[in-house]
Amino acid sequence: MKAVRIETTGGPEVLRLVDVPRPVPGAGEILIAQEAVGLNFIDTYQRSGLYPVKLPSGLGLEGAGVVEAVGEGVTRFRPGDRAAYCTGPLGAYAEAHAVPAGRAVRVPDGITSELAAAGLLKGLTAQFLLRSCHAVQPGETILVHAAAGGVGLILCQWAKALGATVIGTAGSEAKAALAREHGCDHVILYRREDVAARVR
Amino acid sequence: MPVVYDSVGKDTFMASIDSLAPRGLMVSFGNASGPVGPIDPLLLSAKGSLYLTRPTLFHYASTTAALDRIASEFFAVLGDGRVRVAIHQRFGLSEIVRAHEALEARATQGASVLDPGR
Repeated sequence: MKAVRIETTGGPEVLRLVDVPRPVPGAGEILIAQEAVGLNFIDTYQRSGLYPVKLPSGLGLEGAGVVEAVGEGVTRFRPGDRAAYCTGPLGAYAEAHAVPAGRAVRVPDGITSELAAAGLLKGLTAQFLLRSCHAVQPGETILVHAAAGGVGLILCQWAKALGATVIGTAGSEAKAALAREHGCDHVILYRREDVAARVR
Repeated sequence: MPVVYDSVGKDTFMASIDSLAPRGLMVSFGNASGPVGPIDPLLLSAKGSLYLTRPTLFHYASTTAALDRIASEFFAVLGDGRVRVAIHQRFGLSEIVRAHEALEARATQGASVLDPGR
């Protein structure tokens, strides 16, 4: 199968598309025939060496697709189920990936694998931020920096659905417009305005 | 503000602290502009008995049960349209170099995915 590997850390040119044997799921693992892989900024940190990884290595933490095979002891999934994961192990940039069954979740009908791969890491992050770190209440006003970023756009929409008023910051008029389209009530352009003064 | 969600890091940290109401919560969850430097606990006192956390998903989804609960809440809001995820960039595996160049140039919007079949 085709997979991306890095032998050394560095710029984007260290990414190599190679042919490797299709993985066999070990005990407790599932093999996912991937329909989509999520790209995240953290991937670039692992490629560049800012966040150290053991070399040589695959890359990518997030993907979704159809369970092709299950390893010994796996009861959580069966072949044919759709599964997604977003906390590794590294190596998502591949046609298939073996993942511990306990780190993958079932993808409900009605949600495409592409959407699951694109949104899982950002969506789970938004969930714990809005519901656990601090439980956002109806009528509350919250401040979200980088409101037009990947997590930011989900935070805006979800906080609105919880009944909060969302003040966001953005770096350009285009990003401000995008944040507004996703439910951000007020946008502060942080390069031009004093954020704390505007908020107060 | 009772709570600030800050993924920008170094460049916005002080503005975030200054935006909080007394006993407000500062959630620092990223470092897009660089990591925040050392913090003196007395700063939190001076700015209004503030709370500060630097969370990561790992500690909130550390068990399979927790992961399932968090994921089911996300899939619920995604499934009924309360939350939309816009995919703006699609790349094939063979375009991975270009994909990383686009990410690092901040030339992407919304979410980016790879199609391993392409």
